[in-house]
Amino acid sequence: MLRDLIIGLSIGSAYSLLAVAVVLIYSSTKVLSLAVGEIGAFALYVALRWHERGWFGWHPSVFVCALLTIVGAGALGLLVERLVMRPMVGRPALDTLVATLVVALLLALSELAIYGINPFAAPSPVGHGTVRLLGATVSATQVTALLLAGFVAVALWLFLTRTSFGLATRAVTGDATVARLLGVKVNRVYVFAWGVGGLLSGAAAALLAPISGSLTPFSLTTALLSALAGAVIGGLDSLGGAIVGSLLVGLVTSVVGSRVDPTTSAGVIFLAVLVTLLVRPQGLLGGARASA
Amino acid sequence: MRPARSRSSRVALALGSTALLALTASGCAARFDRPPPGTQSLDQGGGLPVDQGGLPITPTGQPGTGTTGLTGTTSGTTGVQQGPSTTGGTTGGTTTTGGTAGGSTGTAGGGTTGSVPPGSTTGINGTTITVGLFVPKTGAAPVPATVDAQAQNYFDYVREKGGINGRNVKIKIYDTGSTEAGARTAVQQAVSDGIFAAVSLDRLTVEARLTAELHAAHIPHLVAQLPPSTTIPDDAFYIGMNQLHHGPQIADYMVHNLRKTKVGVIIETDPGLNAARDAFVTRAQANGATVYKNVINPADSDYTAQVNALCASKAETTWLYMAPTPAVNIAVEYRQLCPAQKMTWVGNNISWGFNLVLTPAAGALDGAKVFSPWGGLRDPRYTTFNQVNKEGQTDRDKDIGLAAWGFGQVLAAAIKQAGPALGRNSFLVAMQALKTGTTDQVTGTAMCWPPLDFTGGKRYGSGDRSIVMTVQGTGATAIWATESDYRSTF
Repeated sequence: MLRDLIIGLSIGSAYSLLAVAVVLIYSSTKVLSLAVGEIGAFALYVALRWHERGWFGWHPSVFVCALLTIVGAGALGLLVERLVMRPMVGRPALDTLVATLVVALLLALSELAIYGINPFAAPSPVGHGTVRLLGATVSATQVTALLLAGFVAVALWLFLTRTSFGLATRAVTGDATVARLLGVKVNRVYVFAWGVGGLLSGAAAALLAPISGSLTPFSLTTALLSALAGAVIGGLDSLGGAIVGSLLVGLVTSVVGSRVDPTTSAGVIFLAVLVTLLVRPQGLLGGARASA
Repeated sequence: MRPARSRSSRVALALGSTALLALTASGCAARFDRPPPGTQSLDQGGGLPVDQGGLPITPTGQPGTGTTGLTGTTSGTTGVQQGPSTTGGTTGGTTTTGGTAGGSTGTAGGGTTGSVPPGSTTGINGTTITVGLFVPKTGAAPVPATVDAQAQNYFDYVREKGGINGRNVKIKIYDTGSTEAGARTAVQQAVSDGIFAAVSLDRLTVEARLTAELHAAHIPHLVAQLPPSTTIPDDAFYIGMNQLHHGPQIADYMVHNLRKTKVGVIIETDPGLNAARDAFVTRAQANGATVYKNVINPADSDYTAQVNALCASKAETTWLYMAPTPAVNIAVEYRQLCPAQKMTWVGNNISWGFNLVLTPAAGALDGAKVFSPWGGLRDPRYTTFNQVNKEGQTDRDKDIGLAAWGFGQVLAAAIKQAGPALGRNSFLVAMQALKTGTTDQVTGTAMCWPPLDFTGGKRYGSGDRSIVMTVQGTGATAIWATESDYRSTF
């Protein structure tokens, strides 16, 4: 059982970075982004191809590839914000949701067209070390993902609660129109959310793909499904909740998956999402006002 | 930040979850081995598998209740008419179903057919016979793009050799998109185009759909694989291996050839795969081995739990009964999380025994074995293929050309046996009497698919003969190589 718990935490850690990206964008812009997975995946595809072919006479190392992925995904996030999301400011949530879904599909189809469906080798930027704990073996990549997600969550929380820009972000979240009247540059908040969300998406892709060793179109969107479940269970407006929820998803995946089967574990997770939406829509760590 | 959540936000959230679920369920991962649920049992004809002496084929309608083998099956207006065969057995008979009018009896086939009415000549135009090749060029599990050029390769070579009875075959490719809906559309297009016959190589569910649609359109069909539980129509000819029999074969191979006593099997979450998995487990245990078994969701991107469990089981060899992507992912994760234990991975049929798969595996599949319909590219029997095939770019895409070359050989053999009076009727009769052996009857080169024998109403022409291939080299230079020739028992 302890072994399953450790494995579950390691699985959940892989989703936590994506979940944090989802929560950051949602809590700042009220947009539930389904494009987070593929933004990172697309950037990772480009970086890995660069690593493989050595464009401009340079074969970046795998670690540098990860950094390029993070930067590239951040830039892609900004591009999506400027070209797709900003013109949709003020539109119903359903419109923005569909827009992000379309962005995800376009990116995945582009990956398919350019790189094909066959798995693309994705080596780990932090090496192939492992950690053995209570009978379980987890990879250094998973440990890195968990540590990075925790660090990012704390850093973002401090930034959003201790800086004037963070206060401005919270004002925009509360009511964008009022915030604008009060002099807050709302577009800057959106740029921040999508830019940092993109960076996190890139980090998630750079660490998630190497866990299984390969990258395929839609694979990060599939992972996003689990991350989204974690974010909803933990609280869509809570960075800590995103991590806690993701870890819970990992635990269910491991414990139920090993004792029953993977289909049942997926069913349990989505049943938990449903129950959360019905009983406590703000999630485990979300704000009380959400249920009002 | 804890903003109030609006009603529209909750709606969006629910829709988002639903959309992602639908996206995932639509099948993003590559799969060759996923049969549809609810198909009929393989066993028919008094409980005997149809490839082991079950009911004879009547080329239209239901299996006949007449006599053994290919016996004088003269059907009615839509049926196959077969006259006396020039060689063959001794038993005559009639079929009681399959056509609207009964016919005369004949003698058992086994060699070339005699004056067989050609039947429909759809797709035969002057000196050209148009045959459809149904493959996934797009979608979840596409074949290499060079399949277009490689598909015609064999018949270009046949043309150099003088053609077949004054004709040659033109291959027309149809893209299934790796989906059943795509398969339906592709068959509709093929019917509109008026193809003579069809060959297909796709994932199991798509193959099953193609088989049903082509049967409904009365188009003769050579199929590479089908779900173990599927009833094979009388105008479809299964030229790959029956996966139901692969389980025991692989179990025997692991114990007797690899000499392992701790074996494993991991399958995708699909009840259609259980029968072959269970047959594997039963045989392995009967052989005295301890068996680890597990299930994965092919849509998952992280198999840490299964890999940890596999590592803890101390299994020395494991059958990955799944599509290429999860197989590669599991092998990569295993190498990372369980580096101290050596594992020999085993695959089946055409699921992941392609050179293309070895690139993302990046050494994780080193030493793997696969039970394959064809051998490795360096196999001496494929010298002519390698010399003629200039369209395949590298080792990574040439083995799909090998599959197409083999399809061509089977087609050519049946077309030759059907004689100058070629039509769908005479072609079906020739297929039902087909025995290919190891040498191409048209070009004299080595056959690329297993020696086939469809006589006596056999539905699985290969008789479950497989070549075992092994991975030679590592990483970017790795390539599948022939380990042992066609055989049924290990």
